[in-house]
Amino acid sequence: MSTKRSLPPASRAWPRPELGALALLLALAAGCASDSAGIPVACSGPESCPPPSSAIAWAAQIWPSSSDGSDPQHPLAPQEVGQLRFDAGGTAVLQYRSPALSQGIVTNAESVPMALLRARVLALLPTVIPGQAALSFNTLTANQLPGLWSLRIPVPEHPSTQPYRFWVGFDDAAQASLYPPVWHDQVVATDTMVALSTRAAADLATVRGRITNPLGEGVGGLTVQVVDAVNQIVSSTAVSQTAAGTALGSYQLLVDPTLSADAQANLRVVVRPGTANSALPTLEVAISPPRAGTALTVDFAFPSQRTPVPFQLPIRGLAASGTTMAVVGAHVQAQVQLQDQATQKLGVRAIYTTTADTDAQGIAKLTLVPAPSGGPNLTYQVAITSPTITPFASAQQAVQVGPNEGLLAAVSLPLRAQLLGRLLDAEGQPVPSAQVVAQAIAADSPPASPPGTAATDMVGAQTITDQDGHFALHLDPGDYDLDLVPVPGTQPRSSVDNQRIGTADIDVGDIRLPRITLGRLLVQAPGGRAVVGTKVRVFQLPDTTPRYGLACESTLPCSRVASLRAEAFTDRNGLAQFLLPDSTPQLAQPQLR
Amino acid sequence: MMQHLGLAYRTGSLSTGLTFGLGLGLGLAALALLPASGCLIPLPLEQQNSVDGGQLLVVTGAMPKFGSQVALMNTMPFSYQIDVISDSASLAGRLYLQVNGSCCDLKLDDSNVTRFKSQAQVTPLAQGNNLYTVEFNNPVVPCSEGLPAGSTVYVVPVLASGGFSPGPNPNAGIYPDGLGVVDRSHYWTVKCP
Repeated sequence: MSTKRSLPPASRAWPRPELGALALLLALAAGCASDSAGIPVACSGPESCPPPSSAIAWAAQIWPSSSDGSDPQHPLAPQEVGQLRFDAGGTAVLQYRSPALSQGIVTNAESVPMALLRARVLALLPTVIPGQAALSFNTLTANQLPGLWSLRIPVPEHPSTQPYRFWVGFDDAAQASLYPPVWHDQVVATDTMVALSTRAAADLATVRGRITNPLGEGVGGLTVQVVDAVNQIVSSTAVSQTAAGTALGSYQLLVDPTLSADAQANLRVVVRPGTANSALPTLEVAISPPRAGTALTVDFAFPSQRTPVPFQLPIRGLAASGTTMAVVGAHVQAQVQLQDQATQKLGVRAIYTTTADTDAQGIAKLTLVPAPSGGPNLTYQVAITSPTITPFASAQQAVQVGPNEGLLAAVSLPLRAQLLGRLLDAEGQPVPSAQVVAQAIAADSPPASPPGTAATDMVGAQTITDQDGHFALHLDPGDYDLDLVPVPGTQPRSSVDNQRIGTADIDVGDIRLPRITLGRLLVQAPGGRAVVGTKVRVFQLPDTTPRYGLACESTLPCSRVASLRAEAFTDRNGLAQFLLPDSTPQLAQPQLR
Repeated sequence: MMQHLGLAYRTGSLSTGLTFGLGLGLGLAALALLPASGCLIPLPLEQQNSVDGGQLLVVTGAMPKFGSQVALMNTMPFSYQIDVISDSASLAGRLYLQVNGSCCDLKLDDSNVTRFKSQAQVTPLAQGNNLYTVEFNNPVVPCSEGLPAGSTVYVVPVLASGGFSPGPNPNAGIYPDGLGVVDRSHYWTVKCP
């Protein structure tokens, strides 16, 4: 039975990370968690486990803790190893490289330090492990010493082939309106000075125009940017003028044509209303890549539309019996393209987007632009992301919206396909209590457009094998890698990759896990000192080489990301030990049910 | 059976009901009162019913480190991972975006303030050592929320030693069971372009 608790002060917080690490070390010292880096139970018997297979391409990440014994003035920095090689005994040694101090002064095109500058400098190191995020480090320029910045960043494994990308963005709105972002690629092998300069005005193109409402009045306070085909911002950021008069709604920004990922592809000028004007649509106009030194006028008009009003969209799950039930917690995004003569004349694409989650009755309360009185219905494209805990599939559907607010026709979600299987160890014994996680294989296509309305985030479906190793997952149609995560120390992590799920149930039958190997990773600081408490992550690199003409064909699912195979912390000797698979799982022939 | 904590009585602001994790003072007090087993036990703020597990919930680190991040484009995805010590196999994590520029008064029933983004995959690191990795491995796109340029989005993880349950008011979202924490020092911020 619950009891009402007295509420703590709002400022009460968890320990800071370093205190958390302190607590961990104290707990370790007290015997609370002394097995963190011990030998895995599957290899602790009289027979030793073989070393990891050299036929598999391994990679690793190491992440230092804040209490690893390093000099606080020279802390260790995270590091990646693209090709991890174990010796005949199954051990690999990783040595932290001393981080490099990168520093510089942000200057203008005449190399003059930019006074009163509040810029953000970001150093990005592309990952060498496919699917992992780039390592990024950022700082603000100093207030006292104009434009000065410094960052301590890890030296990559192969500096000459892994240049850093330095980026400068401007926090101050006035400066952001004057300067496009600055990019600069530079090799960092040791302490390095990095020259970051804004571009000269002669190297930039100007885009200017005015944003008006259907009455022809200017609309101020709207964000205007130019983006390329992959939504990268290639311009300064303008805010349309709010001062009354003829300038109301006007804007001007500067485009750096060299920043575009594809110099030939069209750019888009995008007007984003922001949360304060959420009743307005996003506007965009496609433009040809402008030449430096030129000026272009791009005017925008908001389409004549009615004020958005509340609608209720019921989301129902259609069970096998034919009955329907409310789907609670589904994420619903509704989008419609609005147009009138003014937008058509200017080539403006106006997209209105809104979202809501379904309530306990399965109703999504959406604020929608209604159809014009006496006019045709508006056709919204509605994307429904069903929670992974329901058996009902996510769906996209066109929904007709009339002139009057109120209840819309319900959207029915079909049942998700079931993916069934049984997990066995290398000897054919069932593997109970293993996590089975479906990781959606990301599409190669660029992110959703327009900016500000990216697709709903996906949540991976997961389950646990029963005592007999059986599992069942309900999945939306799509391509998946199936991560198999047994109870730690008993079996290696593995995965069944490239599974395509449609609308029919699939029984993959018995999945036999690979044999166990034992890997050891010794982590050392510069100078050879053992590093305690470093987190080690070992990945199996993807095999995308064509075999039998099947791998990575455009019509087949193809996972191109590295798969996590082991995680561990180093012990007081700097050693982490973990199980790794010696091959890929053996899979019975899938059967449609 | 996990206990449902008193936070369910407050539906407006999750943090005021949930911020009863180990604070600095509590943590030090708990260290001073280590029981004979040597394990770290949080001090209850007031008498509570006994629970199965869920007595231990400590964040030890994160990848990337908690702190500020910069999005170079509005569609830029981010992935997050947290290292946790817990004595409960029912440990679960959810990730929320706080889009009104403040941290961390989560308002689950107001999407103008708080938006649920991702459920974590929770993986024990080894047997019997209480170390877990809480991984939000489906990329989150914090700046795709229709925010004005220059906005700061707070990416707030919520951990629950006993998992999550709908709570007495289903309209108000999903609440942690067991020991649940919203944190004012363990979060990320993302500066949007």
